[in-house]
Amino acid sequence: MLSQLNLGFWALWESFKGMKRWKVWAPFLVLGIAQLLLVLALTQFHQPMFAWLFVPILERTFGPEVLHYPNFFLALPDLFSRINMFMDFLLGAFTIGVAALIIWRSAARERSGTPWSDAGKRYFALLLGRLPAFLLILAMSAGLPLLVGPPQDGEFSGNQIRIVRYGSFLLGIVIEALFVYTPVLLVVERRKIGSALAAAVRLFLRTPVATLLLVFLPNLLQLPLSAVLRRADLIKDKLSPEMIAVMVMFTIAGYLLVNYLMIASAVRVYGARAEEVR
Amino acid sequence: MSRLPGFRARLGWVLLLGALSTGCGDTPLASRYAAEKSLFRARKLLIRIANKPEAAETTRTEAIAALERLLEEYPLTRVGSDARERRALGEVRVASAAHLAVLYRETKQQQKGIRLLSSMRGETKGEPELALRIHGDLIALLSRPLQPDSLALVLREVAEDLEPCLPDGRPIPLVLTAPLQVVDLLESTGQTARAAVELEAARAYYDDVVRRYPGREVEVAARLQAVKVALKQGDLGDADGDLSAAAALSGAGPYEAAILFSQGSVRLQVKRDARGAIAAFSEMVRKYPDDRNAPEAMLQIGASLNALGQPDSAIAYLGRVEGAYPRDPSAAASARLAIARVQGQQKRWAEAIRTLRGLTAEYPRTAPGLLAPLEVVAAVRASADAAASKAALLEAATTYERLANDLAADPASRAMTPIALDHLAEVYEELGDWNKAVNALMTRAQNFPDDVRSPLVYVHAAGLQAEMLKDRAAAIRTLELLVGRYPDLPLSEQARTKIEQLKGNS
Repeated sequence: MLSQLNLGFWALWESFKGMKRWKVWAPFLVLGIAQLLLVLALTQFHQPMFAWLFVPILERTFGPEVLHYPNFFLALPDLFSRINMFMDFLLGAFTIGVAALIIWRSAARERSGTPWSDAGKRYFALLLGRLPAFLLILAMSAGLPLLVGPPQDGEFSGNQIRIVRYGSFLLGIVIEALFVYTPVLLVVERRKIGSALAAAVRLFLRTPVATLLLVFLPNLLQLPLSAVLRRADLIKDKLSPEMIAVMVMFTIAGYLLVNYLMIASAVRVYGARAEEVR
Repeated sequence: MSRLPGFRARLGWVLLLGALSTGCGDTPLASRYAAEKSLFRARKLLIRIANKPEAAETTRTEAIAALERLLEEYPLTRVGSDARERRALGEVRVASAAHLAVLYRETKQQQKGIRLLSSMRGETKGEPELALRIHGDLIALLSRPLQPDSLALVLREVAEDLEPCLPDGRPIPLVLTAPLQVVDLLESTGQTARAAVELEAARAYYDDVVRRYPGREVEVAARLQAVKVALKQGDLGDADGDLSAAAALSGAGPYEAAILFSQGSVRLQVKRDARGAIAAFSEMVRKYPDDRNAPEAMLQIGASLNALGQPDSAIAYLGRVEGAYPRDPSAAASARLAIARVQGQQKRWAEAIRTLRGLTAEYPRTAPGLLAPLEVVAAVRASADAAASKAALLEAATTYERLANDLAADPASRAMTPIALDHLAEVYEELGDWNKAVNALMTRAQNFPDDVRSPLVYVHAAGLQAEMLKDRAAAIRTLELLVGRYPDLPLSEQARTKIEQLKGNS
């Protein structure tokens, strides 16, 4: 237990120290820029360039009122997180693969190799490796509200909302921790998808405390950001609706940092314990 | 040709820029959304005005400019024929016009606001909700200060152009009461002949509504209005029976209280059937004790008992109003006033005067409480000699001066101050102290410019100055104040003529 705590904190600390190397940020920047462009495009949903795509999605998801100013901005955090879930799956799987390779080679002081093309060649494997976590998170988002019982008078009570909110957070941590080593195993050892998934789960089971720690601690950063976004109505009234979009952009920055810390720490834990799962 | 490769390299960017500029074109959705954004920003300025009155002047100018720009930049034509976007942009434009009208009023550009709202009416045809909003705002603007002719015109158009009910048959009070409001307006401005014609038109209007919407909730409401018309015309026929028939209609449920109240009024005031009135009012109070007319119904029961020659029962019953509606000081004060009047009828002057003094002491912020000192004068006059009357008038003047000061200092009751000042002027006029009467009237007119009666008060003060004080210069100054403050009122036109007359005589 103590050794696992040591391992977890050591991996996080080393990752923190490794943040200075700009090269490790490149894949996260690609993901971040794509997310920023998505937010910007969403805020321009009323322009003909985007209206054909976003208007039907917005209307179907939130009803026609969302097409009005400033209502749109109140729905933006929720809308972004829904669309981002798919972007994270399709693009995030690849960028995390690249990041895992860069960090691994950088830690091993290897200068050779082309991480972008190496990860690109394994894109479908990375996508499949991410699929179980993606599906479980989707199922959790749909299932958890059903588990807390029926809403009273059409609305969930405060306690029900809190159970769903913090339950999703904790379950999400466990799901992420279960599969956090998959991309590393796919790009570093070039394992087949089934073997990588099995090895990832095995590694998690051998180092549950360290793995949960390296997923849980960085994700704590998301809590204050989502708490701020829950008061979107206040931001709209006291500042301006556009500030909600700016806050979403801050959450993107936070999300990138969380992802970096998680994957960089996972690479280090893998490096320390990989022998055990071979 | 040697430049061609460079051109090719840039062609991609040119095409991308072209696509982007086409993609940011002026579509109905984009235009409406931009208009909503402008309105939201203008509303933020309005919030700043409300929160920071000390910096309101500059912000108000900014808000006016923003809203004027919005109306100019986003006409309905910007969204073409897209019905959904037209309605949404219409809502933005109507809301902007309503805000702008308020800002114009605050910056003494009342007529500009009226012209703006009038011009918006055409836009809202076919959109009942928007039309209602714009007409409601226009009526409010024309009511303060009162512009009777324009208001009558708008009310008439409301009745003619708008449906009296929602699609589900629920009546729209603004529309349904418009014909009778025209009548009330003309009566209040002394145009009795025109009022009679409008009363006839109102009758035809309500008959038409009853015919067009049989079995709907609006039919019951229209029948109630028709009874009010009949009451005014003194041609009741079988109004009592009509009301009973209205009560039996489907959809009469929400109107039962109003029907019972009207039945009680018809029986008491027209048929002189006090027993029948008591039955109707009692049923109303029993079934709908929380209805807004219930306290008044209790007062009417007291009046009916008095009419039946049972003054003691009337006093005892009226005494119960205060206990039944402890949170309605106006009802309690009205009951006290009614008790004092019954005591006066019984020539129990000492008791009546005691009741009235208690009324002023306990309910000084109600209309009956403010009337009580004058009623004391009347009671003293009826019971004693001239010297006692003068003393009572002096006492009333002191009371009204104190009340006017107290009410003006209390923001919650400030609106009652004009009543106290009106009574004060009345008392000084009775005392023959014309200077003080003029002072009270001028204080009232100057401090309450938005009060409906203020323009008339200037005229009254000028009349006293010219006739009683023989001070034509002061009268001219007062009338010039009226003209300066309300340049667009028809009354100001009359004042200008009067000024010329006074100048000619001096």
